[in-house]
Amino acid sequence: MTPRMPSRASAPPADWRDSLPPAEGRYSYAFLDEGAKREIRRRMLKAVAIPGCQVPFGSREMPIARGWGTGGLQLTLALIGPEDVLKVIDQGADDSVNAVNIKKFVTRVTGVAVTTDTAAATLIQTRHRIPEEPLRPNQLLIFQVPIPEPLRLVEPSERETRRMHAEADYSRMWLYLYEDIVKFNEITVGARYPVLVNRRHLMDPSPIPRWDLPKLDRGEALFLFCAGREKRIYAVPPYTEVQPLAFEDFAFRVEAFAGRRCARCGSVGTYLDEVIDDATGRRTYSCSDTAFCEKALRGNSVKEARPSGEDRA
Amino acid sequence: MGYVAVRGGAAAIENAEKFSEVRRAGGDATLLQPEQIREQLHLAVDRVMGEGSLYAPDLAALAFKQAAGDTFEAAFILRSYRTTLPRLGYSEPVATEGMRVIRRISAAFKDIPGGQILGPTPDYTLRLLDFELQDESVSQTRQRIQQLLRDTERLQPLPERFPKVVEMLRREGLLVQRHASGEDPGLADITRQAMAFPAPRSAQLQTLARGETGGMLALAYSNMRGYGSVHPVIGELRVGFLPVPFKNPRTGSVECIGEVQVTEAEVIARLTAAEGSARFSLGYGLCFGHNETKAIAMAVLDRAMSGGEPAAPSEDQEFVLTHVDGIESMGFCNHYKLPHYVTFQSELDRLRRIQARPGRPKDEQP
Amino acid sequence: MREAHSMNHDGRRSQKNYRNLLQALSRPGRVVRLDGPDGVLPFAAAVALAECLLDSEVGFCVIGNGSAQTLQTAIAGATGARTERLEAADFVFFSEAGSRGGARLAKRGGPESPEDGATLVYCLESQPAVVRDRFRVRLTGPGIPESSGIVPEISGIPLEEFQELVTINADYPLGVDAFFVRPSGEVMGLPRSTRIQVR
Ligand SMILES: [Zn+2]
Repeated sequence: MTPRMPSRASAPPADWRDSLPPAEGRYSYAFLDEGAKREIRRRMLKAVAIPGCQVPFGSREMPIARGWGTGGLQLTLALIGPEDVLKVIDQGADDSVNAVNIKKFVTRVTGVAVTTDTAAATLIQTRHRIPEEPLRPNQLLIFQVPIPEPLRLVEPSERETRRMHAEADYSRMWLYLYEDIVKFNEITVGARYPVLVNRRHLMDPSPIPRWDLPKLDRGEALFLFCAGREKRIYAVPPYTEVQPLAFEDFAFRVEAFAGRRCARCGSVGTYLDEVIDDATGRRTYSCSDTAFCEKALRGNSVKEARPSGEDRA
Repeated sequence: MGYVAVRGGAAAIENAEKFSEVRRAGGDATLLQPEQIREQLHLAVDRVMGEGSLYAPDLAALAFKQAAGDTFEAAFILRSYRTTLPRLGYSEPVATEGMRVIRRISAAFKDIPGGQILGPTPDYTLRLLDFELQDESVSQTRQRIQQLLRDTERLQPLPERFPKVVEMLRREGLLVQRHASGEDPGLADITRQAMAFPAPRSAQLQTLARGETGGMLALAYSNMRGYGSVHPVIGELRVGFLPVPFKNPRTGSVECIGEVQVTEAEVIARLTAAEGSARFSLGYGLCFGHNETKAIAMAVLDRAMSGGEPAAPSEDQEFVLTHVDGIESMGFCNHYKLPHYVTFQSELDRLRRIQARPGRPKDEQP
Repeated sequence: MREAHSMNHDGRRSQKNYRNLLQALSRPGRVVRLDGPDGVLPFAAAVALAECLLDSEVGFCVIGNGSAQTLQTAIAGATGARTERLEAADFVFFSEAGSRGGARLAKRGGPESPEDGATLVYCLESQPAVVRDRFRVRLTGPGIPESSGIVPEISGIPLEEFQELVTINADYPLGVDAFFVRPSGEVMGLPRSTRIQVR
């Protein structure tokens, strides 16, 4: 073996800054380049045309981390224009850190107006909730999705779940729920409850509570879902049947808050956060939808949210 | 009230950002220049470029500085910057025989045509903490390097091209032919299409090329140790510079628009009886920059996934390809820090309901 | 970070038009309006749609009588998309109201990738000769609130073409999705999920 010295790597430029792109105008409107927007737009149309079907797309890396809403963010950026009014929520709250961060980024690259008022928003990006206030036609609700595949619960392989969707073979999901009942006398799935869309595609509604599922069924707004890390887009158009999986003798149930009301605004019939007081250890409840709670406090809104089929048991 | 504190908005976020800035640059030490990082922490820069999937040493150095040395973060910053860049075209394919080599070894043969070139490697350096670097003198270091360069000038120059070691085996008919894209004649583009399984080999190699070094190492190591059947021999490992030929859209002629440094590994492994006739099969690894661990791990994984029915995680194409991306895995791992109280409330509801039921099944365990 | 708050003119038009196309496809049978680029009449609406969705990453095909070539040139010029055989095209444009059997040959996607089905764009006339035919058509399904169904809002689509779409999309979720555009900019969407009945 003859040890030899390598030839010198190419000479560095005189000033390394010369090779950087210019600082001004480095980011285009809504961050994504037009080609990326077009691809996302094409895929969204296919998702709308086949409700509940997961459409793969070439997810781009965003300046927020994978798993933190990059899917929802890409849809928002592909859709947004100067006339839009944006609302972003996380766990129902407008001022949750992640929601604030996403809002900050979108306004920075678009300059659009933001709001916390559900009724005033044209685009709503959400993680884990559907607002209590009923949505109107022309409003778009964009869900951040961590795991788009409802069958992942019973089957880890993408190849296999793809086949199951092709054949509408959802027997293993049914079996899972059935075994749950046998074991616990109850379906133990909390959030992320699987739903059947348009009587054909099994869909993961993202980790929204069961409380919110009735709002997906024949809603007036268009619901768009996107998982950035898993690179999937899917949709529920307005007036589309969305049914949680259930058995004839074992009905689907939303979370029970029977008898409880919001300690702040007094509303009944909203999804509640359970808050444990440091000092007393006492449990109190308040609306998870903070904008709804504010409105109710100011008396601008009826105190009853849209009935969500409260658990009667 | 812990969870409520997570709300509270813009001010908290801005302060968190400012505190990170304090951690990065708040000490008494001289502030790092990206140029220093690019030249003296070049292996970190290479790793960031590879995992960030963008060949841009200056930007990678800047990202590394900004991320305070976290390669996951730095690669992530570089990747998200990549999203904003328009795609202007595609370079022409290059053969790696023409690599301007700075290091090239084979473990399969004692002597190889063109010779073994050790080049820069710490492989044979004792890993003793070098206290002299503590107060390194610029003049002494420069002097030592100049002396070394003068000494090597007397040696004969390296040849322009090095024949590929594995070509010798191929000519003898000892290698199984594998194609870049399997049955698919076109090349996949994992940055534009979500992967479908089974993925063509082009998509496999692209995914591995920008995979996270540590994650790939863990999977490849599991195979080498026994959860798998690849017993690799390094046919050839090269580090060097490749030209980037690009067709000038105006004139139509192909011009070299620059060079990229890459590491290339070719591992040879015997086919098992189940996989067909007794021949060697090749695993291929190539990544940006100087990163031998990654290139070898990539080659082992490429080979491991080429068999039939997977018998171990590292042989399962879907398992490997969906878990090696550092940007994705790191993002998802950290997203659990986000509040999940809505879903947790939903879980609580289920649990309370089950517990409230009279006559619970006796085998019920939490 | 430097921000860009202004959208260029074409980007803005595409964004607005896209929102309308999304609206059209999520509310089948209803009419929305697109802004067309100047100077490409009578195909302004078709080109506006193309500009919004097509680029070098997709293939398209134009089928129809004499004016098909004009349309093809306009689309290629506006988008940089490659022309493709009908059977392999992602977007198929018909320069008239009917496909004359062409729609049957368009991609419908595979069982594991129904989304690969083509998008069809029909260019309707400004003043259709027959306007009452549409009352023989009922649309139901996702995006349509009335369970009894609605009548398509746009006229001038031959009944045979509705029949064609029924046949093509019988194997749901495999199938094609259609837009019908008029020179004035009016657009109606018919995704494959829409159930069409012709009396
Ligand atoms: Zn309240």
